[in-house]
Amino acid sequence: MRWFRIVGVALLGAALAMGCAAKQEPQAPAEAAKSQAAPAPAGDQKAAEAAKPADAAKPADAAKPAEGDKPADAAKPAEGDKPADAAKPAEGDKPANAAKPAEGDKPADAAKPAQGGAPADAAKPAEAVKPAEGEKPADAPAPGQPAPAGAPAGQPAAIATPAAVAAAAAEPELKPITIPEFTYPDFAGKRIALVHTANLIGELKPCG
Amino acid sequence: MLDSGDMFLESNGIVEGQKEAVAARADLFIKAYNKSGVAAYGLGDRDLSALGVEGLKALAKKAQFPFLNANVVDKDGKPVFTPTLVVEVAGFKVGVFGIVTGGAEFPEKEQYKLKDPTEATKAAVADLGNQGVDAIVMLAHLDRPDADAIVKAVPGIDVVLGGQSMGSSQGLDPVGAGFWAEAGQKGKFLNIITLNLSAKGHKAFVVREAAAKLKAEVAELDDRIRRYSKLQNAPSVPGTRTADPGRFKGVVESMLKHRATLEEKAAKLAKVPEDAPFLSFTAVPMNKALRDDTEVAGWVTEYETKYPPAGHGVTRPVPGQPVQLKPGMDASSMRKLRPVVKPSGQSTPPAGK
Repeated sequence: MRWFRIVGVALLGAALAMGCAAKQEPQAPAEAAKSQAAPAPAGDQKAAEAAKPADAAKPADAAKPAEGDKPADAAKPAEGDKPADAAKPAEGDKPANAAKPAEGDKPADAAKPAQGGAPADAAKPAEAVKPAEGEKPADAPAPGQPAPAGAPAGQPAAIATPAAVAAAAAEPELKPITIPEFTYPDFAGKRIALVHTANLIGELKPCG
Repeated sequence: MLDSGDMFLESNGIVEGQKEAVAARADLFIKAYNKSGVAAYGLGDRDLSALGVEGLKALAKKAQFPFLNANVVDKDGKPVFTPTLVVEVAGFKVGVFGIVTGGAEFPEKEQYKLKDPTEATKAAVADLGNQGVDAIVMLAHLDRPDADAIVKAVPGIDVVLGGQSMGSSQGLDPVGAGFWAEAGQKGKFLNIITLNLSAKGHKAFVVREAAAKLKAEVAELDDRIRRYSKLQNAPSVPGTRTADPGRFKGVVESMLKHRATLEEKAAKLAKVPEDAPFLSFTAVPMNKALRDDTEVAGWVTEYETKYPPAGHGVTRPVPGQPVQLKPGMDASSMRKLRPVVKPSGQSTPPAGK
């Protein structure tokens, strides 16, 4: 009997643990999706504000790309990728490119979690981020990773995906360089061309 | 057409088994250059070390253009080759002279020596000035820092056509009161530097296209910075170049520093005088699509049939023949030769190794 009690307690414990896991699972990828969607363009204050928790229930807003972005390009997978996966948006979300910060933008609040995110099975956040050209996209991280430092207290822990970490590193802001343009009168003199080469170093077939 | 040197051989020395092949190759080059209408050839250090002063003197007799050099001198200090040349084109006189690096070596050290390049340059520029040239072109087989120092020390040089350093110019680089350009190696590029002259008399040249070039350079750099920033921020993917994206951080920082220098350069840009003679630059890449001269191509085929190439533009020494350096040559000059494969299949490392 004692043996059966032990087995019974163990089974009960296992069932509880599975139940907890099942509860948490649907939310985790949604959080991941939000952590991708949250990066807001630096040059676009509105978009940055949209990433605040209050607005986070509207992922479509938060994910809105900045002006001048190229959503079509952003959704384009790298060569050799699986386009269907890479560009596949989560249900209720804007397109997958939404997760990609605009060029030259600073990601903001990347670690802030989503509240009431999209269905878990539809979201493939890490794949949705456009990887560098010629690179394979990273797999989505396992759910339940520790929240990054600085996450708001009392809110569910955000998942520190590699993409989110990467997005946190700011792209440099390139201030335009002003280069003057000068005009000159039409040239009416003589042109003498010096055709120059050097260092043939014994090459008998220089063109090929 | 002008050549700044190091035409004949990749290595600095000739081994015994190569003598005949190298001589035949040098003859081939001279024949081809004669046909191309080359105006002048400025000697390089490898020419001197591979063929020697005497060998080059003999070769110069076959050439329909001068071997220009102002700082290889005899015991009396007189230039051995043609020190300066004046070419008259479209009513203007263009003066050309050649200088080889002071580090050049040649076997006939007892008979000839190298004059200080700066002193030789002063003499050449003075000579060309006395002939009333409208522009002075230096065939500088010199390392860039040496060339810079000489051009700054000797005013009056308008165009410096570099050899030795083997770099490829994207534009005309100011040096002293003149401009520097170099054409890479192995004939992959031809540079075309255009002298735009309106009035006779030697006046300092300017470059009008600096602003346009800078604009293009900034645009290209910005594009690269954005691309590398993305790589820097990309997820780490093992087995790809973003396995360690952090390594791109330094690249981006370096490019941003360079961008700052371009910004400074842009702030200093000013309109150049409209009446000054000006220079233009174009680099023309050579490729296989260009049609060969059939006669020259025939000479090359004939040469390669007789002396099959062994790579590096060097004809491999014949197995079994002694591999010896020429008198005065350094063993390090053998470093680029591949091991000689003996008939038995065993290989012998290059001499000096």
